[in-house]
Amino acid sequence: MSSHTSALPPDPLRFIRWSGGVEGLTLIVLMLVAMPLKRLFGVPEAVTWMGPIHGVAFLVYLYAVVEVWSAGDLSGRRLAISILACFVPFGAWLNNRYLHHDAVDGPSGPSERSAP
Amino acid sequence: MIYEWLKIAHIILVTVWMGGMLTAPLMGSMLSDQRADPALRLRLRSTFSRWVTPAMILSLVLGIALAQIGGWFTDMWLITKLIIVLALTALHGVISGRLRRFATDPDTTLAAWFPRISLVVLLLLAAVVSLVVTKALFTG
Repeated sequence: MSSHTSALPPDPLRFIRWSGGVEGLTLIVLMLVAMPLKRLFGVPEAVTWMGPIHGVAFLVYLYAVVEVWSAGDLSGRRLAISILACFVPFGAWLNNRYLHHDAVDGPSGPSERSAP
Repeated sequence: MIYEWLKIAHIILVTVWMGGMLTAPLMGSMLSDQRADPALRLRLRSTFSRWVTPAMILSLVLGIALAQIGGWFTDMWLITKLIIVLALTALHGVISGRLRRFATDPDTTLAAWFPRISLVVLLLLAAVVSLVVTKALFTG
């Protein structure tokens, strides 16, 4: 096996689970820790920094789900659910549990197949 | 001073990211015609995932940090730019996923529209650069 092969992820869904976990965690911290600190205790710094951190986590998660969908390892339906899920607290975590249900089995999906 | 250093690093990383997104679809379509050499497909995908994807993630991190330090988040030009960055991130996913399937499945070919992603990336990049350079017009 060449060194280039090692750069390929062994399980395409693993990156979604990882980034979804981080995205979900940052959303929870933002909503349950940073926002109460700002509203109840007048400490805006937590939101000031957690907001951008959550923004980056969301973008990485978006990249992960689109990448796996584009490779044909995820259905269009699950792509839409995965993106919508991250707007809800605990949504990305819940979605991680059901990822394999709609994962495309085998080399089908949106990638083009060779012409006959 | 830290702002300037972050800005320098951000511009370098964005250059790598955009360079990869502009060239990878074109190179992929060229390799689609040379179906006899799967090693080149694998190398293209490997290079993309080792250089371009980390450049994207780091440029996002530094870009957000710059916006935070500079206090730009309430400005309309930055909100518009962030929407375009969202589209560029999704396009990066499309390119990366297709290249991964292309590299690992020898029967896969790339669609005729795939190289045209480079043109879309170029247009989005032009919009981002215009927004950043002319931000004074938006902030008044």
